[in-house]
Amino acid sequence: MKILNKLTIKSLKLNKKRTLVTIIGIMLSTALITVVAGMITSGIATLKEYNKKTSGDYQVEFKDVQTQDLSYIEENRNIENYFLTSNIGYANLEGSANEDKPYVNIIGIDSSAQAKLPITIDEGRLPTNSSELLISKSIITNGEVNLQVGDKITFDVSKRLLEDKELTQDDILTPDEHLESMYGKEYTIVGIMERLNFDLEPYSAPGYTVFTYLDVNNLGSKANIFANFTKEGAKNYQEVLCNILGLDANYEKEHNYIDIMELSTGKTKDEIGSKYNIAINTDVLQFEGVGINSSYIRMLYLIGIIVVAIIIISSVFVIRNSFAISITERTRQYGMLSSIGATKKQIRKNVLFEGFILGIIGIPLGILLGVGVNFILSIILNNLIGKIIDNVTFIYSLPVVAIIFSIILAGVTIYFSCRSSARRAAKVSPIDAIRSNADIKISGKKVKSPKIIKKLFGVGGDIAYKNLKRNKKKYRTTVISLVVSIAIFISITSLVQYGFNISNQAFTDYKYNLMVSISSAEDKNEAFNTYKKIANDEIVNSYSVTRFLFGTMDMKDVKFSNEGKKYYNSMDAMVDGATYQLIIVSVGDEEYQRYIKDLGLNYDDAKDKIILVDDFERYVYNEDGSYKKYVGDMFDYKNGDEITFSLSGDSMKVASGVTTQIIASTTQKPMGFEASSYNRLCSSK
Amino acid sequence: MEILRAENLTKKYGKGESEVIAVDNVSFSVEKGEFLAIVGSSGSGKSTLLHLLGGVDRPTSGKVYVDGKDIYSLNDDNLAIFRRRQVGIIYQFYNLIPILNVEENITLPCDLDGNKVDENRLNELLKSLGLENRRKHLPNELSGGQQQRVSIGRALINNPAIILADEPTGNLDSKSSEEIVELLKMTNKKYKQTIIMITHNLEIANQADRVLTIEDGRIIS
Ligand SMILES: Nc1ncnc2c1ncn2[C@@H]1O[C@H](COP(=O)(O)OP(=O)(O)OP(=O)(O)O)[C@@H](O)[C@H]1O
Ligand SMILES: [Mg+2]
Repeated sequence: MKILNKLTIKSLKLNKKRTLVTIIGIMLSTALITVVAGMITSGIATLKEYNKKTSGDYQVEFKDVQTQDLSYIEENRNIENYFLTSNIGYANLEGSANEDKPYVNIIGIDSSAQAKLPITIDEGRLPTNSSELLISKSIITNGEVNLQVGDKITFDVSKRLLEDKELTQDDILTPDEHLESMYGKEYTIVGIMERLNFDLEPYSAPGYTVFTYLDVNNLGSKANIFANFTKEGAKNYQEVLCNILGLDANYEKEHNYIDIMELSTGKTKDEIGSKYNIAINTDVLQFEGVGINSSYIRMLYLIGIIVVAIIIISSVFVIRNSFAISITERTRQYGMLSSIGATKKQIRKNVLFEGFILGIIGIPLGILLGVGVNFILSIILNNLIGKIIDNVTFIYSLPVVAIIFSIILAGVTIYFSCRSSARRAAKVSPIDAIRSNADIKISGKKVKSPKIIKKLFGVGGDIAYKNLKRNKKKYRTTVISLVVSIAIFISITSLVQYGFNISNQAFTDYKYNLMVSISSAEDKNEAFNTYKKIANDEIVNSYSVTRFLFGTMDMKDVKFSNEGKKYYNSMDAMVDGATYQLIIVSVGDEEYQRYIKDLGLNYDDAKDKIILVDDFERYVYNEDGSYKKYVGDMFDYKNGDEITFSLSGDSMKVASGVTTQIIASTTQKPMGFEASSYNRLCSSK
Repeated sequence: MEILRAENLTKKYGKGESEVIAVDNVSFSVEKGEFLAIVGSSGSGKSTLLHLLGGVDRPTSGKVYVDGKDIYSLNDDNLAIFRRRQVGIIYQFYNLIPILNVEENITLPCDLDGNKVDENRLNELLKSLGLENRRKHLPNELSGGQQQRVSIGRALINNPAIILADEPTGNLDSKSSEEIVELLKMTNKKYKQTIIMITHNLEIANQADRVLTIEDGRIIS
């Protein structure tokens, strides 16, 4: 072994206490990093499992695929695995109380579909042959048909037709449709399940779902195929879908796959020109790192990164200290080594070697500790979660990658901890060793302390100041500690803030949890009473009652900003006689007061005036698929400007020449309008 | 043959009022195999001069040639390598590494060079230093004289061009002092080792081939 390394090991052994403290420091910071990494990976694994359980273990469903075309999808190289279900047919549900849902929709599922679909059985069991039936509980609760496990029921299995076109669950009930009977069949009800989620049974579907057993070797003419993409496929899932659905991938890509999106959110294949209808299981697909809505994964990672950064920074400052002490104690030794010819590089390497040795011991211990803590945490979490949410187990997952990642970060921590000490040791001059100076180097210059210090703090302050000045290193350390404390404080606060921001984005685009809309209120009083009932319910924390009016202005009278003008010019809308439509929103006095306060305005000044919500973002597409973005202020109104428009309300009464004053122009929106980017005026009445 | 030459060496410490000229425009040369003693009162600049000669401290101005090579044209790392190969330094307080044993302390310059230690040379050295039975002892288990002999061994192990000794006997009783001086004289004779030694002891100085006297940073004789 090299003599310098031997020297290091000897001095580590000699200073057992400090060595131990340093190792514990390294161990703790490694453990902390491991715990954070483990919690993130476990959290993601848990979410993934949970979503598979609640939304089904598939990423996309292709509906009603011709049996002979199945293999085309099954054998696609971007499809990892799949299972099939078959729409056996519709039947009248005798006595259904819900006039929009007069049918049952009989679906055949095999055992792999049974395992992978999010079926929650309330009572009884899954069907095991083609005359057994698992029915949706909503038949009883919503349809008010009293069926029980063990009942036998005969269905007239039929096709749902509109003229010649066969209808599916995606098509809402129409007056002109009819059922075309295929055969009658007696089923035995063996189980009752919770209502399926809306991907599998749309809210507007006219048939309650019932499952029977399907023999996959005996499929009908069509089947639904539920597929998981391969990792590669999931990354470019939109492109893969375009290919399978026969859409122009290049065109779609240029238009942000708008058709795929619309197809998966309710438009039918005929409207889009796609081969099949699809449903995308976003809850599951987002975990493949695709950008549908992976905000909460991003948030998890981001919080992880910030926490780890804080751990590293604070660890560096702790571990650094013990290196610094160790090096200071050995200044003489490094000087001696230098005087007999050790190079700066050798000495620097030697200090890094000290870090390496301590890391070799501390990091594995830290990983073990971290893994242990993670394990205990996951047990605790499981007990907690188990009590709060049913059906969820916290999955403990710490992949090798995460461990390697922790080791690397711990190594980085150690490196940064001993880097400055290494530099300092390398700088020790041989002369220092010979004279064996202390850490305080009295510089030749006289240190003068400002008079104010003497006055404020007396002689003690004077000496302290001189000391700080003379011993620049200590001075610097103090300043750096302060800076780091502040930095850590700031990062924690911004972490919290950022976390909130992102979770707001991830979970709510809306400031409200529930919107009740009564669109055709013939009886105004009844509508009013309904609103009142909701608003006064004890579960309602705050509310706003919003109503619209439309205001029209001559295009040429509207004071547009330059950006606004450009936009309307590009739309050829700036012509004589064109009108501009404003939407005037009233939010009720209570919300208006709150809104006014948020904007920093005085209620008395603002109560009968309007607030201009002016934020706009528009895209104008050219034929070649490129687009131009217009964003910013649309209007050029100043606070206090008057604005005149004609009014038309829901009853089409028209009042012309209404003039009111704009009290403020803002991008902030009151409760109830957050999601919209239309320009609106807000007023309290 | 000339092994070392100092040209207009000057070393100043501090600036302005507190400026000290520790070595003031010194020029001289040393022949290979010469045993040179430097004397002078305390604070006259002897140690400073020695460090300049050994490449331990850079001069304010002037040059030092060892074996015809301008040592201060080297960068820090190469200067360090020069020190461990060409210079052996002996200090008054031995400057041994307390946690390394005798053998390890002596072979330190070799190890730093990454060279394998020549066992024969080590044994011969240990024998001539009278340390054969002390190989595995730590410095604090040795007497002052023995410790100084270890540091002489360390200075000699790489066959340096010059040995610089700063009051090597300053900390020792007269008997040990004598032993050390004998040892140095012996290496001077036997290996033709060039030695420059600072001392306050005129008796010791007089055993040298030549004596330089320094006063206020200048050679006065
Ligand atoms: N690092 C330094 N900073 C400032 N002045 C110094 C420094 N080193 C030495 N000096 C000054 O340089 C002068 C010469 O010092 P040096 O150590 O060479 O004397 P010396 O002849 O070796 O004395 P002694 O016999 O006491 O060892 C002294 O006046 C000393 O105060
Ligand atoms: Mg001296």
